[in-house]
Amino acid sequence: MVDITISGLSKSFGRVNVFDGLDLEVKDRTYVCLLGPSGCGKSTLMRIISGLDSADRGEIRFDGKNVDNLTCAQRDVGMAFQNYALYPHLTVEGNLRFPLQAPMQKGRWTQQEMRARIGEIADLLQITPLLHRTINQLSGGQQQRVSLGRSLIRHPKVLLLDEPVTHLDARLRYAMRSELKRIHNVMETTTIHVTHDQQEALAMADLLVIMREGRIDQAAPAMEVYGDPATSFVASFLGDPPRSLLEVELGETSGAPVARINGVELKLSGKLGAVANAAPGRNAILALPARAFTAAQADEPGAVLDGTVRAHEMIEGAQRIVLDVSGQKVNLHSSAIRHVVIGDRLRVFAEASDGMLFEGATGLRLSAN
Amino acid sequence: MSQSRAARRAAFILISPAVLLLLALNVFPIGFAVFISLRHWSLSIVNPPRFAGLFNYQELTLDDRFINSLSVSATFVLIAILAELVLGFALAFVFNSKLKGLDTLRKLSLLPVMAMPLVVGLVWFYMLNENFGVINWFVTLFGAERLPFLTDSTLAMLSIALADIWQWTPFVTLVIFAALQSLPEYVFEAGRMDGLTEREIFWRITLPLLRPAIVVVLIIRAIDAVRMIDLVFMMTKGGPGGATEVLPWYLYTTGFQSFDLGYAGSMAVVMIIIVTLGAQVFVRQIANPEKGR
Amino acid sequence: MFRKMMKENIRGAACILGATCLAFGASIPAHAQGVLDGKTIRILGIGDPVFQVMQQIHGDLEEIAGGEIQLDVRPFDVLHQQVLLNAQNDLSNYDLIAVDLPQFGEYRPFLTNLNPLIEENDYDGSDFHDVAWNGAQFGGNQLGVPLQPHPEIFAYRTDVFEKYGLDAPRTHDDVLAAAKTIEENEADMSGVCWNAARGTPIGQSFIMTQGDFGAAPIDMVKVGDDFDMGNIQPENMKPTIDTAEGEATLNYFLALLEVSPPGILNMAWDERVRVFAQGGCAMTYIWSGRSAIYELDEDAPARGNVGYVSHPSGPDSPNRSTLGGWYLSIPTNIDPDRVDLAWNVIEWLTSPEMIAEYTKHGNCVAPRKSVSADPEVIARCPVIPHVNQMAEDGFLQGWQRPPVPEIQKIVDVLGAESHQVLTGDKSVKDALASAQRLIDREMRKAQYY
Repeated sequence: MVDITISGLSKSFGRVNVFDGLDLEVKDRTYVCLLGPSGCGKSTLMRIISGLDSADRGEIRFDGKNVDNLTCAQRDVGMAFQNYALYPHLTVEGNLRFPLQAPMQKGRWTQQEMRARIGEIADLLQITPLLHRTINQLSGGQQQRVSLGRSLIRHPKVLLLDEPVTHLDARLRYAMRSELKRIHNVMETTTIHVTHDQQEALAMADLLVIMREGRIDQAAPAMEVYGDPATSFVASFLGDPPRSLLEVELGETSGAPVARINGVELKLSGKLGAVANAAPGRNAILALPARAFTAAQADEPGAVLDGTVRAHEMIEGAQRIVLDVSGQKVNLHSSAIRHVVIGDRLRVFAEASDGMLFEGATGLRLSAN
Repeated sequence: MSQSRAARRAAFILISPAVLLLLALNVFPIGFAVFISLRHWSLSIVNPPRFAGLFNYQELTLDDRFINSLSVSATFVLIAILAELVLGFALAFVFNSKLKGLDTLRKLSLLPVMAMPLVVGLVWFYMLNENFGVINWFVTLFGAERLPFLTDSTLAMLSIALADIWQWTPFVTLVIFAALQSLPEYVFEAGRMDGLTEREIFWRITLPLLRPAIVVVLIIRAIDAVRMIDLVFMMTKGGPGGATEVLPWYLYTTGFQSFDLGYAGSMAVVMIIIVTLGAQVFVRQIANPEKGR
Repeated sequence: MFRKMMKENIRGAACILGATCLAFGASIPAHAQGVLDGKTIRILGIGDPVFQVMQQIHGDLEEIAGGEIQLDVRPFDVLHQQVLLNAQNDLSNYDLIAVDLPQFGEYRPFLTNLNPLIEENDYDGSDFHDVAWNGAQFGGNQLGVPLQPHPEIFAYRTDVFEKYGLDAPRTHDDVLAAAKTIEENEADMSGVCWNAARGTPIGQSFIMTQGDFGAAPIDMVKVGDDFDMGNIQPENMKPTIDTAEGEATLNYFLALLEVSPPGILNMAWDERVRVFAQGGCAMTYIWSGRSAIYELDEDAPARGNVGYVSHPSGPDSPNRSTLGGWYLSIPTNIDPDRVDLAWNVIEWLTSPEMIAEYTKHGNCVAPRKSVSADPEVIARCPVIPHVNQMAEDGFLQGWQRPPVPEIQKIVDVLGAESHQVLTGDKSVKDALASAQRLIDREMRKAQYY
C-alpha cells in the first residue's frame, strides 16, 4: 500500500562495497522479486529497506516520504525471515500475537480485536488448527506459514520476504508460491521477495529485479526480463537450462554477417544480422538457448563446434550435456539421447537465429538502432 | 518367543554395567547412609555399633544447632546464588558486546573457577582477617574503623557468600555467555521488526530463550552451594556463634570430628531428601513453566 | 623419579638456608647413622612446630638415616580422622603416628604397648621429665615416647608490664586488671590474645579455663588439688559443665572479650601468637613450644621481652597449666616385621641430639632434662627453664583434658555453645544447660550409665 523509491543507495561493509548508487522504483501493490546469485547484495538491499540495516548514502522513500531515520516498526514493514525466526518459547498464537503487543502498538488493540486479527490471519494461512502448538511441533511448511502470518498480522505497508520458500521441499515450495500470490492478492501489500531461484521469480514477480555484484542489471516485468534480457548476465542467468554465452568475433563472409568462434562461422540472419552490422565493436557475446545446439554425427560436415563433454545428465525424456568448446561453456539440451562419458569429444551444430548479441566489453544488449 | 528372550537377555547384559555402576555409586551409599543413621555408631568408641531405631532422627527435631544449620544453609544458598546469577548475567552481557580486549578479559575471568575452593577460602580468610588482612588495611587507609568481616554474624555470612560469589560468578557468566552466543540473531531482528525496544527484547525474547541455560546453571550452582563446606572450614569454622554453620559443616564436624557417625548419617539422609525434593520442585516449577503465553 | 628430584631439591634448599648443614653434621648421633639402612619409614604427623621442623630438614634427616622418610603432616582434625580411619585397616599405612596427650584415652586400643621394646633395648626414659614420660602411661603400659610435650601457659610482655608497674599475672583478676591498664594507655595494643575461634579452639579454651577454677569437664575423682586420671570409671563420665565453675569460665570469657584484639572471635593457635609477636596484644595464652615464633624472629617486637607463667587461676584455685603435645606411638596394626624399625626411629627422633636440633628451627620444647639444661638451648628458647620450673612445681597437669574417647565430642559441643555466648546469641545459662544436655546424651549413647 505504498510506493517505494530507492535512489543512489550505497552500502559497504568495511572495504567490501556491497552496492554503489543503486536506484529502484517500486509501484504500490507490486509483487517484486529480487533475483540474483548469492552475494549479489539482494538480502542487504532488503534489510536496508526494512530498516534493520542502514545505507551509507542514498535514500529510501515510502510514498515520497524519506524513511531513513525511521525504525523498522515505524516504517510499518513486515518481514518473513529465511529461517522463519519464530520465537521458540511461544506457541503459534503467541508468535502471531507478539507484534500486536509491542510497545508501539500499545493501546491500539483490544483483546477482542487481537483475537479477531489472529483468527483472520490464521484462516488466511490455514493454520487455525495449529494455533496452540509450540514451534518445535511444526513442520517447515507450517513454520513458514506462521512466519508469514506474523509478518502480516499488523497489515504492514510493505511485506519483505527473505527466501521464504527456500527451505521447503519441492512440492511444498510449489504450493507455497501460489499461496503467496493468493495472499498478495487478498492483502494487496507491496511485497519484496528475495530469492535466488529464477523459476520462482519468473513465476511470481510483477516486477523482476535482477541483481549482480551490487548492481541492478534489469528491473522489468518478468516475461520481459526473460524474453528481452538487458545484459548478457541476465540472458545467461535465466532459462532452464540457461542460455550459453559464446564470445564471438563479428564479421562478414561474402556480404553476410557472421559470428566467428574458433574459425567456425555462424550465420547471423535477419534482425540479428542487422544488430551485428550496427555493432560498434567486433568483439561480442552471443547468447544462445540450449535448443539452438544439436549434436552432429562423427563425420557430418558443416559449421560445427568441436567440444569436450564436461558434464551430462538425464532428465525426463531428454539429455543435458555441458560442453567445453575451447574454454567456452555450451549447454546442450536434446531429446535425441546418445551415450557419452565425461571427456568424450562431441561436435555440435549451432543455429544462431534465436540468439542475442551483447557488447563484448560491457555485456550490454546490442540492438539494430 | 525364544528370540525375544534372547533379546531381553542381551538387553540385560547391555544395561548391566550402567546399573551396577548406579548401584555401587548411588544406591549403595544412600542405602548405607540410611543404615548408619539407624544405629549408634561411633568410630571413637570401642563399643560395637548397635541399633538405635529412629533415635537419631528424633534427636534432629530437638537439635537447635541442626535447625539453625538448615536456615543458615538456606540463607547462604539464596544470597550466593542470587548474586552470582545477577552478576554472572551482567558480565555475560558485557562480554557479549564486541568491545576490544574483552576476549582476554573473558579468559582471565575464568581463573577463580579453576582454583581449589579450600585455597580460595584460605586466601579470603587472610584477606579479610582483622589483624593482618589486606582489605582491612585498605579500610583503614580511608580512615574508617576495621570491619569484623569474619566475626560479625551478618558480615561473616556475607564474607563467605562473597568468596563463593568471587569464585563461581565466572562460571555462571561462562554458561550464560555460551548460551547468548548461540542465540539466533534473526530472532532479535524479528523482535526489532515487530517494534520492540531493546529492553523489551531483553525481557520478552532474550530472557525466555536463556531459560534453559539459566535453569541448568541454577541447578548446578544450587546443588554446589547446598553442599559448600570448604569456605566455612577455612574462613569461620561455622562462627561466629552458629552464624555460618551450614548443614554440611555441622554434618562434617559431627561425623568426622566427633565421629558420631549415626547422628551424622541421619543428617545426611535429611540432606539428601531436601536436595532431592528441592531439585524436583525446582525443575518442575522453573524448567517447565506453562507453555508460552 | 619425581620424588627423588624433589628430595634432592629439599636437601639443596636446606643447605642453602644457612650453615645448618655443617653445624648439623657435627651433631649427628653416631648410633643413629643409617638407622633406616635403605628402608622407608612412614610417619603420620601434625602441623605443629616439631613436625614442621622435620619437614624443613627432611633432606638431612634422610641422609643421616640412610633411607626414605615419608612424613605426612596433617592439621589437627584431619590427623584425628586419619588415625581413627587407619585403625580400621587390617594393616596400618603408617609405622609411627603422632598422638596428642589427651588422645591416648581415645586411641588406647589402637596403640602398641612399648614396654617389651623398652626392656629389650634397655631404654632409659628417666631423662624425660616425669610428667611428660608418665603422661603416656596407661595401666602401667607405656604407649608413646614424648617428642614435643608442652603445656599451654601464659606469656606477657615484660617491657610493657614494667612500663606500667604491673606484676606478673597470677590470677584472672590480675590478667583483666593489667589488660585494662594497658588498653587505656596503649593505642595499638590490646590486652589478651586467646583461642576464641569457633570449634576446637574455644572448646579447648573452655576446658583449660575450667581447670583454672580447679574443675574438670567430667566427674572424675579429686586427689588433692588434682584428679585421678589413671582410673576413670563409667560413673566418672558424667559431664560437669553446668556448674559454678562452668559459669565462671564463660563469665571470664565475656570479661576477656572486652580486652581482646579485633577479630578475636576467629583467633586460634597460630594467629594469637603472631598478633602477640607483632605487639597487637600484651598477653597471650600460648603452647610453650610456639614461643619460637617470636623468639627466632629478629623483627618481632616481643622478642626477648616476654615473661612466662602458668595459667593464671580463678579465685582460691591453684595455678594449673594443661600439658599436651605430641608423642610418637606405634599402631597395633603395624606389620610385625616393621616394629623394630619403628622403635629404632622413635629412639632416634626423640634422642637428646635431635630434641636439641629441633629447638634450632622453631620448636621450643625440651622434654629431656639433659637438653633443657643446655645453655645454648636456653639461649634460643628462654621459655624452656620456665616450663621446667612449672613441671617441678607440679603446675603441669593433663586432667583438664581427660583422656577419654569422648573428649573431642566434649570439645566440639563446648566449641559451638561457648561461641554463641560470645556473640550474644545465647545466655551463659542456656549455653551451659545445652552443653551439659548434649554431652550427657553422648555419654548415655556410649552406655556409660
